[in-house]
Amino acid sequence: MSTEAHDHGSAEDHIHPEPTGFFWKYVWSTDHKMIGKQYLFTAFFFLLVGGLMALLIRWQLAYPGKPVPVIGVPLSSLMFAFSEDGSVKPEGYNQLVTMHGTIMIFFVVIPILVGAFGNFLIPLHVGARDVAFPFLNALSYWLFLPAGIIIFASLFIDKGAAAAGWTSYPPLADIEAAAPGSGMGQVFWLLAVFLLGFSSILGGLNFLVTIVRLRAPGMTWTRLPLITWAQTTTAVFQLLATPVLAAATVLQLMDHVAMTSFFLPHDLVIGDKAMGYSGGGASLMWQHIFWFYSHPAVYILVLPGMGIASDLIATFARKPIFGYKAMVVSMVGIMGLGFLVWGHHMFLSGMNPMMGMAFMTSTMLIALPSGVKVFNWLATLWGGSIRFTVPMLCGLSFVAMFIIGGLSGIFMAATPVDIFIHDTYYIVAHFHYVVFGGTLFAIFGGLYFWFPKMFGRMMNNKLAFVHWLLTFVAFNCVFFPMHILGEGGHMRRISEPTKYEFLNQFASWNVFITWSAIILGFSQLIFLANFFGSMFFGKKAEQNPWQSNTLEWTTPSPIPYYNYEKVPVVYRGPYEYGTGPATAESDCVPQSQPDSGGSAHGTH
Amino acid sequence: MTFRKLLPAALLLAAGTTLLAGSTAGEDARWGWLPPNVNSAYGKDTDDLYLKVMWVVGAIFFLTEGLLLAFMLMYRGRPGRKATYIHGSNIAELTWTVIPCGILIWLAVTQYDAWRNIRENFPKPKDNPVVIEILANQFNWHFRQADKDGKLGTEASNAFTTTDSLHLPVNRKVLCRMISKDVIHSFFIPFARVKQDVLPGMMTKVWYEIDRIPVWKVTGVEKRQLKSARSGKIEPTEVLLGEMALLTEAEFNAKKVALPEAWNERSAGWDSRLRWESRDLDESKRKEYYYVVTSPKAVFRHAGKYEEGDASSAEYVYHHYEIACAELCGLGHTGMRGVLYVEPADMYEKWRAEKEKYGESTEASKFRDLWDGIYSKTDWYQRGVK
Repeated sequence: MSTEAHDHGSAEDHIHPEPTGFFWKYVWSTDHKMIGKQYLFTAFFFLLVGGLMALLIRWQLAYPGKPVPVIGVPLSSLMFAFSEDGSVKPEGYNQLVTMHGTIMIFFVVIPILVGAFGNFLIPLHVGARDVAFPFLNALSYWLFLPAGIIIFASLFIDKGAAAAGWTSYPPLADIEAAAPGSGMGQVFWLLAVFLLGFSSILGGLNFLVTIVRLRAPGMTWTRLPLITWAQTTTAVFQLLATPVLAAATVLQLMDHVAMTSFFLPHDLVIGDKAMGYSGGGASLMWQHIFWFYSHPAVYILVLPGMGIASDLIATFARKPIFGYKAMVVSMVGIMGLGFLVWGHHMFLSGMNPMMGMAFMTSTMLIALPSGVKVFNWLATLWGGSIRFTVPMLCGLSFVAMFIIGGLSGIFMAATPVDIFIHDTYYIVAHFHYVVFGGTLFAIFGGLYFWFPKMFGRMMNNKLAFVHWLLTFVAFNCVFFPMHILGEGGHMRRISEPTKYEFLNQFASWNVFITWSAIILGFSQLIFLANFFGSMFFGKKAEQNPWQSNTLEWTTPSPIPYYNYEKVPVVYRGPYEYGTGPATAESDCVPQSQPDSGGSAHGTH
Repeated sequence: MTFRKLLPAALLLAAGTTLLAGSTAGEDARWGWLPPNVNSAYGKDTDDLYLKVMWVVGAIFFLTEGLLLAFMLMYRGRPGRKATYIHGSNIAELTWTVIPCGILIWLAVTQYDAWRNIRENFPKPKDNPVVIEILANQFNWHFRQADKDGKLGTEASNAFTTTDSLHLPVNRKVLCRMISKDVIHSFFIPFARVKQDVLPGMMTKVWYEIDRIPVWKVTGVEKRQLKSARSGKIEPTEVLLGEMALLTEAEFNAKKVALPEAWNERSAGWDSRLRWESRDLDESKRKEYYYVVTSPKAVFRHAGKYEEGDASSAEYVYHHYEIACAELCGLGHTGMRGVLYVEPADMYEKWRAEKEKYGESTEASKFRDLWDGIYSKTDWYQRGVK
């Protein structure tokens, strides 16, 4: 038995009673499950905000300059982004695009995947009572929340929110004269991202230590569920890449408030006005630093999704995951290569072309582990007995959509091809297939799957099915045509495509995409209604409604404050369906169920 | 559960709707493919590589998605069915690791030559390229061309500038040296497969050669009630319906092509006085693609000679490509649109001789110090883009 298992054994003596006061239970809670829910609910709020922004963006693209129906005029009194007649200003459009990206990445997807699922599941999956540093964990959330408040508040300030894209390239992002949103709006953006960075670093550290040190007796590395492996690799990204971004935001902040020139060359002239910066900085430097974090961030966005999909597919195909070790090696491979591909965002930036060739090769190679994972998921389905529950449909949708998003990435990796499709809707289609079609489906699947553990009730199955179906169809109607736009050269981030003759042919596509997006947006209300309705009125959940093997299903639903009455002993891998002492009624073999021989040492 | 029986139907519906999305999107939408390529220097290489990736990726797409659907169907849970207990297969996993690895490395290696050609094989003096200096600002493209002595930069003696409109000779190599005076822009000519970021404080370069002259092939003439771009009033206007066509130099010279009114004047204001417009029209008509004829008279060029005629009798109208900014550059980003005229050598030389008389436009000349200054101060940035 491992050393950490011994260490952990003694922790059983230190069980604190569950706090009873509202503040200690729901607000300043150090319980990983409550913190996970705090992240989840905050992210839901931002999902609505970011989603609404997407619809406003789409409205402007389909009907440039037309007032936004119903909400346009009321918003115009609150936000700089809207004209008095309720239409989106050109600068407002840039602000919406910027904030949609920022909010969806930093305040929705990462908080749900890492903040919510990471917090809720890691201690349960390793068989621990909580994370290694519960106080630090609470602190992470309480750094995240002010970041969220700052970013949300920036929408309503004079001259509006940041408007230089979620990538915030200087000099546009650095100088207010270049864009109104690059004044206070950008300062708010930088402060928010800086705070978020700290939250993320603390979270990554916490999870890594938890996984390394707090595994239950018998929980060897090869018995961890793949979602926990995904969280491990994600934590490494958070720990090593986020500080780089945090430092960069401080430098850009200094450019704003202290007239430094970290990212500003000399002789900048905005309009007719010389800006008087001492110069000497380079705007390309920001791009390098930003993408050194933000490309790994893309994997932070997708690795946990891969982990969730693996868990769902193994559980509902009733089979061990095919090639567990290859799946782990793939994720570790993505983690390693993930640090070496940032330059593929910069093929046309003015970076030395030789570097373009190196980054093209590393980028092609990072497709390999993803490909291996896809084949392993397919092989897991092979010979299975698939149960088409809604979580499984979401898991399968993840695979189907991730294939498209992954394959379209190969076009961008090919540098000569990227010259044409760079900064077009091809890119928009690609990353939405990965992050929405892939990750968000995994998130939905994960929420449908673990909801019984979170709240002790089941979500309504019919509503869930309708939500999945509408989302799947509408998603593809929104994002598949964007490949076609991109192939036609349709630039992204332009507020009025009708100004270009060569884009006229895409006008009706833009209308089609917009109405599909409206359907997609409203479909999510079904999910939210189902989620919050089921929290209070859902059918009471059994302990293990999906007959899953991992540890969290061996404890009651909802999970008690200290997770496990007795810290479990682990005897096998997480996906040993249909083996061992399975009964005729169930092929479920929980990880903590002793073998007939009772050994805690074997891998399987 | 009953609704689960609906699953196959639901999946079919999902797939069907997605596929049908194309045909429901309106008559002027098209299944997009790459726009026509007019860059004879390397545009075809780019397109061929695109298609090569498409074949590889397409095959993998149908293989994986096909297997996914097939396995979902074949291994659906049924009463009495038991899943096969298997952990993996080294041979299978090795196969789908090694083969894709080979394919990916092959894909990467096959791009190298084209990339080097595009990014490093800039025209030499012996190629007699047209050298253009581009100064980008929010939200214009300023183009500076050398006069006959070919000198630019701080040595330029009689260079001239145009704003948002670039004239180039057909079938001749072009080298653009670019710099921005404010934020990052990106010089994009979709039809020529040209795209390169334009940065402040650092010069970037791009080269290409265009072998097709864009014209407007007239298919019909219509009178419409349109808002005039100039007077702002609704008035009956003659409209030439048609589509873009791309002619070789020989074809262009053989056809009778209507030119803008001020063609013979060769004045500095040439660009802003085009008679035919397809933009800034009445909003409801905006997405349609046609020329508005504001005067019945037109100048025609046929076999190198010029003659006057009736605009509505035009078979072809001289047209342009579009230049766009592809990098978000501020609130006027969308409007950072330029036009690119490509013409036979004699037309280009005549136009250039005329422009030289006027030198730099007032608008661009105020940037001259800055323009020259930026170039002289960027030495250390220029490594790698000499």
